Formats: sequence, structure tokens, C-alpha cells
Amino acid sequence: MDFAVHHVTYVCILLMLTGGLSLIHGRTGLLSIGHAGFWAVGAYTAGFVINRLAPDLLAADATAGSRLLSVAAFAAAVVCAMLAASLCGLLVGVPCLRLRGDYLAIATLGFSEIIRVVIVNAESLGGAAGMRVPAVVCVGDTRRFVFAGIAAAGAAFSLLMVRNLLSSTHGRALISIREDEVASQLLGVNVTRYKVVSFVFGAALAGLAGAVYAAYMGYLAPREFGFMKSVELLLMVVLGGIGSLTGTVLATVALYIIPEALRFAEWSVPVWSLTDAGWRRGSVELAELWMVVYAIILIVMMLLRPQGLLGSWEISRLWKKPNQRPDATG
Amino acid sequence: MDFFLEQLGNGLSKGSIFALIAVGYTMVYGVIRLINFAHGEFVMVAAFAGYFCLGALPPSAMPMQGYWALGASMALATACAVLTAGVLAVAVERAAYRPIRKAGRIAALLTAIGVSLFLQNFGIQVVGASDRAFMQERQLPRRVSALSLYKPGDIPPADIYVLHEWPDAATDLEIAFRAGEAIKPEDLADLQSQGVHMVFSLCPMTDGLKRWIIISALAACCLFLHCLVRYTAFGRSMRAVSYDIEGAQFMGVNVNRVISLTFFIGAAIGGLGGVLLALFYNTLDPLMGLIPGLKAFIAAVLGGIGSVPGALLGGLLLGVVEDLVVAYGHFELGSTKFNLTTYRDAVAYTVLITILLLRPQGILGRERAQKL
Repeated sequence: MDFAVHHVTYVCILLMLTGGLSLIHGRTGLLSIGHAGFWAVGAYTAGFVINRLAPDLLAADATAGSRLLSVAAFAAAVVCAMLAASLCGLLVGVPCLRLRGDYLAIATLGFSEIIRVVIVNAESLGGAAGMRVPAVVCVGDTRRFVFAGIAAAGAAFSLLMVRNLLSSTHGRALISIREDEVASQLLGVNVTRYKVVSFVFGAALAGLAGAVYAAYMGYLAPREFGFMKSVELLLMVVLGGIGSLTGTVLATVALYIIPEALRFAEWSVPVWSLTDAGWRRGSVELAELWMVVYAIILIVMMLLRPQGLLGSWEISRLWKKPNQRPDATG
Repeated sequence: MDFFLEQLGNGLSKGSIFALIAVGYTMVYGVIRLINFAHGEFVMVAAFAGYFCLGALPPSAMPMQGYWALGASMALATACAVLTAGVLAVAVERAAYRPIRKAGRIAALLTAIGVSLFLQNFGIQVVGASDRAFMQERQLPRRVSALSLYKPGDIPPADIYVLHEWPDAATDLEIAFRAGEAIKPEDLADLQSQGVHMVFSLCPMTDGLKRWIIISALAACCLFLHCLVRYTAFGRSMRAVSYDIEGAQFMGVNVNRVISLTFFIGAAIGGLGGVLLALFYNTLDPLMGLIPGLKAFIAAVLGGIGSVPGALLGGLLLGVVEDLVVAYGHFELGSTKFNLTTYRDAVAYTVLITILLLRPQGILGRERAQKL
């Protein structure tokens, strides 16, 4: 049961991240392989703010007042984290006025790596050893339920915001940028502004995810926010269906649950390994092979269905008339 | 001054490795506009091919001795590495990149990331995640001599090992005499009674020697690439495909063959870079291609992606700048102390973002008009 609550919380945090990335990559067509960088900015900002405002508000003899203060500290941390991450989104969004496609991807990667190196070197952020974040909001047995609630609310908020944005005029503009930048510019879409807005919005959601993550985990390590994390997040968006929020949600849940389930199953498979003395036969648990399978899924997916599993299909089509949702990809 | 020269030499040799790896990125990008994310993994696979080849054919098994033996076995290992990388790259291009060539650049980049992930994790499964020493003791060149040349009281400058039979590639080296200690008569008599006739000492692989190997490999590759691109039919078709892929096809260029060969040559030179990378750091592991690959890509962007001389220049420049920042990175400005020595990895990314902002076409690259 504890286990299940933890997984629900974690999936909700991932949903905030992939929701934002789905906006940046899926809708606006800006490839970002540094999304974990925004997450790191959010998490560390929140951690820093909580450390400053609420170092030990929730000791055993905490009064109702200090409990209230710790909730306020958490709220302040969320706001600061979202602001800091969106500021970083602005910093990255401005160069993307000049860069297209793959170049932008590399720039986002460079940016997130710089953030990681800075965190590893910053003593005030704990450096490579990591940063402890004091408990806020509540302690004790109910804590994980409270945080599961907070994370679920955050995920619902993120997905609703993205969905509402996408079904507005602005969302149409974003899709038109993805489909043809020059043509949408000719039709009067302010491409530059929309690109920056999309980046800032996605980054702010990553900041929110970071704040919830920092307060929930109580400990931040720089290696959690590496390049691999960004790739994982991107795969969740890509596999589910580029441009489909439903697909993103499904892929996020599936790609989180599958490796956890494999670890639980403890299946082992025979493998051959190469040692200095020649080939040797051994066995390995399927969970360890997951990354290999993951990579194969990605490659096969790109070969057979580059638009992702669901393409641009949304679950809302089940109860909406088809002609109410004009879609650029058809 | 000595310190500066030392750092410069270090930076140049690391930069040469970046340059060799960057050539593959820039050539592939030049012909099909793909950032081949898996290139760093080709480099890693090549280094492992060289490692296992060197394990099977150590210098001690060569019919010559000293640095000649090392040269011969390194040449074989490099040939093995270069071929492996080239064949792997052609296979990956055929299986994964060619089918999606028309699907757009982002799909291609994602596929490349997938291939990169696959090779890394497959590598971890096959050879294990721990790192291995590249130049092990038994792979150092040997200088063989007769036991009768040593007399009691001599002081050998380096450790002397027993050579049981020729060729002797045993993993455990048996010490006969230790360096700096006078040879005792009873030890000598003991060895003679065991029937030992030959002994050997190890020639060290110094940093200076590594530097010369790396820099001369780069020079040879520069010459090779220049001749290839300028004076051969393949070079001409490659330039044509890079300029206009459809136009080249209309003019009768076999585009698929040119692309395959470009992948082969780019990965082969990257494979040479991989062996040198393992030699330079003395170590190799399945993730060794990731960071040097990224930095080599940055070098290619710095020099102007699509331009081979640009990649070479960018690699050297990045290697030197990175080393100099680390060497001279701690200074005081007013009352605040700055210490940049631990920011080695951030240097490359900062260079990348700066160049993308100020001159996205790179130092030697030409700006292309965007086609509608």
C-alpha cells in the first residue's frame, strides 16, 4: 500500500513534467532534450527556499502556528520554483528565436548540463553530495497521502492548463508553428512570441514538479537530473503520440510502471558476456535489460510509427463530435 | 612557461581526439543533415574492439621487440577498431537511419538517440559497466635481453621480469630483479638453476609519447581527408550530395552508396579517435563515448558543422580552451575568489551556447539560406 502511494505520487510528478514537455515538443514542435534542467532548477529553488524559511518548523512539539507557517513556506517554495524555472525557460526560449530543430535540441542539452555542473559545484546547494530538504506541510503517517494529494492536484492542474491552452486560439497557433513555421508567420502568427511562451509555460510546469518533488523526497541529488532523465521524459512524450495529451499521459504511466513491474517480477534471462578470457554465459534480471528494450522500442517506434502510438488522437474524441476538433495533422 | 606548454600539449592531444571524433559528426551532418547521436557509441565500440584485439595479440606476441612490437600490435588493434566502427555505422545507417530519412530531422534525431541508448546499454550488458585498464602491463612494449648480460651487483634502472618462453603473453609477470636494488648472486644462481635464459624489461608508455602518437594520427587523418574530399571521385560525389541531395541524384550520383561510405569513413576515423581516447585516459567503459562524443559534436558546431577542416579546427580549439580554463581558472578579482577548475565540463557547453547565439554557422561554416 505504501508502495502504491509512492508510485502514484511519483507518476503525478512525472505527469507535470511530461505535460509541459508535450506542450513544448508535441505541440510547438520544439525538440528539447534538457527538460530535466528546468526540473532541477525548480527542485533546487524550492529546496533552497524551504531550507531558508522552514528549517525545523515541524519538530515533534510543533504548534499549530508553525504548521501553518510550514504550509506557507511550501507555497512560497512552489511560487519561487515556478518563477525560477520559467525565467530559465525564457533564457533558453530567447536563443530558440535563431535556432531550428536539432540545433535547438543541442542547445537545451547544453543548458541542462550547465545547470547540473553548477549544482554539483555549488556548496550552498549541497554540491555532489546532495541537498537535504526539511519536512514541510505535515509529518507522520499521513504525510505520504497528503503529498500524493498535492502531486495529483499539481498533475491535474498542469494537464488542465495544457489542455485548455491547446484548445484555445493560442493552441492552434502553436500547432501551426509545428506544421509550418514560415506559413504560419505569413498568416500573421507571432512565431517568436509563441515559441517563447510555450517554452516558459513548459518550464514553469517543470518548476512546479520540481517543488513538489523536493518537498516530497526530502533529498535532492544532482545525478537525478541528468541527461538520461531528459531523454526518458522525451520518450514518454514521443512514444505516446506527438501532439496527443492522452498519449503522453498513457505513455508516462506505462513507461514508469513497466520497469517497476519487471523489478518486482524478478525474471532472469540468459545472456552472453565478453570478458578478458573470452565469451561467458550468464544470466541477468529482466529489469536490468529494460534500458536495452527501451532503446529498441524507441527505434522500432520511429521506424514504424514516427508520430507515436496515438498520433494526435485525444480521448475527448470519444464524446465530442469529430468536426468540432479541427486538427492540423488530420 | 613550462606549465603553459605542458597544458598546451595536453589540450592539443585531447583536442586532436575531439577533432578525430568530430569529423564523423560533421561528415554525416554534411550529407544528410542528421546529428548522429550514436557516433560517440561507435567510438566506444571501436575502443572495445581495439582493446580485445590488443588482448588477443599483445606486443609480447609480436615477432619483434620494444616499441616496434607495440607499434605492430597497436596498428592491428587500430585496424580492427576502425573496421568494426565502420561496419557498425554502415549497418546502423542501413537498418535505422535510411528508412526514416524522409520522416524529418526530429524523427531522425530521436532514432539516433535510440541507437545511442541501445549501444550504451547493450554494451553494459555485454562487457559489464565497470571500467577496464587499456594499456595493461602485459601490453607494454618489452625489451628482451639475455640473463647472462646481468652480473651480481648491477643495479637495474627498471624492474626485470623472467621470460619463460617466446612469445610469453602470460598475465602474471614474474619479477626477476627489482629496480634500484643491486642484483644478489644467489638470485642470479637461482634463476640459472631454473633454466631461465632470457629476461625482459618494460618500456614505459610516457605521456609525451602518447601525445606524439595522437598528434601524428591527427595529421595523417587531415592529409587523408583532404585528399579524399578534394581529389577522388567519391569526394566529389560527397560534396555534390552535401550541396544538393536531389540534384546529385539527378546527375547520376548513387546517393545511398555515398551516404553509406560517408558513414563508414566518419565512423572509421572516430574509431581511431576511440582507440586514442582509451590510450590517452588509459581506461575504457561502455559509457566512455557519451561525453567525448558530445564534446566532439560541440567542436564540430564550433568549427562549422558540415565542414571537415572546421571540425578539425574546432576540436583542437575546444581541447585547448578546456584545458587552459581548468589550468588558469582560479584567480582573484577584487576580493572575490573565482575557481573554475571544477567547471571543466561546463566550458564546452558554454562555448556551444555562445557560438550558437553569435555565429550559428560556426567559424568556418557558410550560412545557408533557408529553402521554402
